[in-house]
Amino acid sequence: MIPRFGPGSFNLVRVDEGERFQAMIEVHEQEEIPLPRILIVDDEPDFLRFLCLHFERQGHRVRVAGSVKDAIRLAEEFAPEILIADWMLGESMDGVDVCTYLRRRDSKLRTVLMTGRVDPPDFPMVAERVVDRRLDKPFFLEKLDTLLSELDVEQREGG
Amino acid sequence: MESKRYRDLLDGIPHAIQECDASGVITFASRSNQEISGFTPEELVGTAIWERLVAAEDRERLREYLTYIVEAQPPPTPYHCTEQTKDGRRLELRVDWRYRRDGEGNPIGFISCLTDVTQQRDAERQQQRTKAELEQRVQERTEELQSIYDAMVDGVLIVDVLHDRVLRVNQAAERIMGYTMEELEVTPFSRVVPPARSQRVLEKLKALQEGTLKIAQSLPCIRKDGSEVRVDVTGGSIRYQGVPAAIFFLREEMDRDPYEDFLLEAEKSLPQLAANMRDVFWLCDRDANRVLYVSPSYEQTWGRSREELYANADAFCESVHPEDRKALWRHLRGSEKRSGSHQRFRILRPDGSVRWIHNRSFPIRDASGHAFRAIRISEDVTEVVESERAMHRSERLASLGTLAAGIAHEINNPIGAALIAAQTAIAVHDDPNAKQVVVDCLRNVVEAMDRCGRIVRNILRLARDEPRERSLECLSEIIRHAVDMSRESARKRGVTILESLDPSSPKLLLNAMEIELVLLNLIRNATEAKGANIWIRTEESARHVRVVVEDDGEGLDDERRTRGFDPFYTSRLDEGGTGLGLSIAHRIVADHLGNITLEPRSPKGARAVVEFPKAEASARTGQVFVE
Repeated sequence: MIPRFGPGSFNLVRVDEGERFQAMIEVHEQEEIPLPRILIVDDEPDFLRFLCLHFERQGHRVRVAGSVKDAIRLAEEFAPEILIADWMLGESMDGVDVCTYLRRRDSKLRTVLMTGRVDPPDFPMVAERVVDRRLDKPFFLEKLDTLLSELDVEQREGG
Repeated sequence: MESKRYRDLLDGIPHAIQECDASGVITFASRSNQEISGFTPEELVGTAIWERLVAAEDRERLREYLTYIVEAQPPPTPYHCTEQTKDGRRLELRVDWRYRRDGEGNPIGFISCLTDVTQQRDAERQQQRTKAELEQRVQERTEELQSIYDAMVDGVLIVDVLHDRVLRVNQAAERIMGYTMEELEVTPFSRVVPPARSQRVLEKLKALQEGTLKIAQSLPCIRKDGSEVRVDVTGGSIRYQGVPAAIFFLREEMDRDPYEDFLLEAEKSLPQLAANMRDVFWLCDRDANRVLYVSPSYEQTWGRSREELYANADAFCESVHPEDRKALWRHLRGSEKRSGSHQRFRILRPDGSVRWIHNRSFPIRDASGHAFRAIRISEDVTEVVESERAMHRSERLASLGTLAAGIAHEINNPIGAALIAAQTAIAVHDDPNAKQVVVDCLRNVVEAMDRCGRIVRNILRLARDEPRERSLECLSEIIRHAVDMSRESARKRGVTILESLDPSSPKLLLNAMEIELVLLNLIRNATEAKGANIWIRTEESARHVRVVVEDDGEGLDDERRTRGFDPFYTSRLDEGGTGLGLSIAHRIVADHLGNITLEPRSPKGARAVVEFPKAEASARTGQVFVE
């Protein structure tokens, strides 16, 4: 089931970074148990946009980054609890590198690595330690939701 | 009494004694006359001494001689004469004589002592004859040897090993050494052959003294003029004129005509070779193009009898696969004028099977250079062709595998995005404020699906297993396809592809799929060169069309420049390079009779140039290789 949209209003006509979906976020901040903060890193703008919309509608606070540099900057100020990163970012640092870097700064950070690659033997050793879930593209949003709730449970039990 | 004693004494000696007066009449004869001549003393006394002689002129001469010695009284010297015995045998006598003188010293007669020398003289004559015969034989033999000596091409040199002296040489040795015979005979051997070598040879010969040592080696000889000549020396030790000597036979190392040697060798081995080799060996009449000889292996390879081939001039042509006949005929006509060209063609065997034959042809020329025969060597390469094809397939699969992994990534991304977009659209579709979101979502889905479709189409084109088909294709179109497929991955690496293609460039006889593979490989290489731009353009010259792929990346080191086309060479092993890309590209381009080169680009980066012959040219020559 696709989560139903909560109370409040939003305007999606303009998509300005940092300000988008502000109204929606405010709605969810009033809830008792705040949902985990999510940082999404991908080099596909549409992909970012739709994922962002999806999680915001669930009540998550979400930040999106189109590059590694943005991701690191946003992580500083936003302190995400969950990182969703695409593996191939078309830069010298890839998704695994971002996971490694941010996890070193915040060991509680849960990570999901999205990948379109079909060659699992290439999955680097380091990724085993810094990536909590691997998600092969294409995937349904429900699958992503499931992974997040699994991580949430693990987090609570571990914490 | 005294007289009787003397008489007995005279009768006892083995010589005959006669006494005669000054006129030659015998006055006394001893008894032993009878033993020698058979005449009794009584018969002899009273006869003249010359009456016994056989020859009339001897008798006359003796009479004259008698007169002379009576008158001149020379000192007596023995003489020989021939008489006859009483029974008619020839009797040779040596006569010693003395004067009988009176009280005043005047000769009054002679005393002769006759000795029978018949046997002795016979033996002497026999000995003389034998000696003469021997001398003649020796003379003849010597002349024979001399003529052999002088006629010999090899030099003969006989050396006194103890005194380092040349004893004898022949004319050939003179010529080889540059010395005359007389000069050589007074020249130490060690001056003729460099001392280091001659000493060793002589030492050996000396140690052995006589007999068996034989040598055979190549020695440098010093000629009289100081120049050096290499000779093959054989020889051994002998005794010559009673001294230990060495005889050497000298042969100049001549510049032999290697072709003659080859012919001699070939003549001996050719029939065996032809009969035993697996390849089929043909000898054809150039003018009539008739088969003069074909080796037995023809029957196995062709599955036909040789008799049929000899009998029917068209049999060969009929055995060739109809599609290959024209090309083969052209090849044979051309190649049997030129040397060493080769050709592949198919034959049909009577059992219906098809075999691949690799044929090499050579002309045989007469002295005037006219090619009057042709040799063909045909090898059954069916297994080779099949394994080449298998190799080709596996190479393609390998490159396809590499490509597929990359392409899957390309496809999964848009599908993933489309899925998310579609789900988002469903989620927000009844929200009147989210109309634009829905539109954006749908547009995203359309774009992503279109991209997927294009990629899949391209993969299918690559995967299709029809590599050999060629048709007239627009090169620019193929390049555009390859660029489309590569653009996304290039963008992700921050590389921009700029193409400048001439849509009006002539169509070429190409296999589009293979050429696209070549371009994909080149573009991928350029993409991975860590530059910012890739330029692709086409160029055209009178006979060729070129595709130039340039990048401004890290360029080529020497190794990559020289080894780039080697199979399995990769500089990106850690990034999953298989090392097959460029080698496949190279082979494909070569198959198209084209050429591919890698070179550095100024100021930085690399340039790959692929050159194809224009359609007409490639259609003409390409057909030969169509399989």
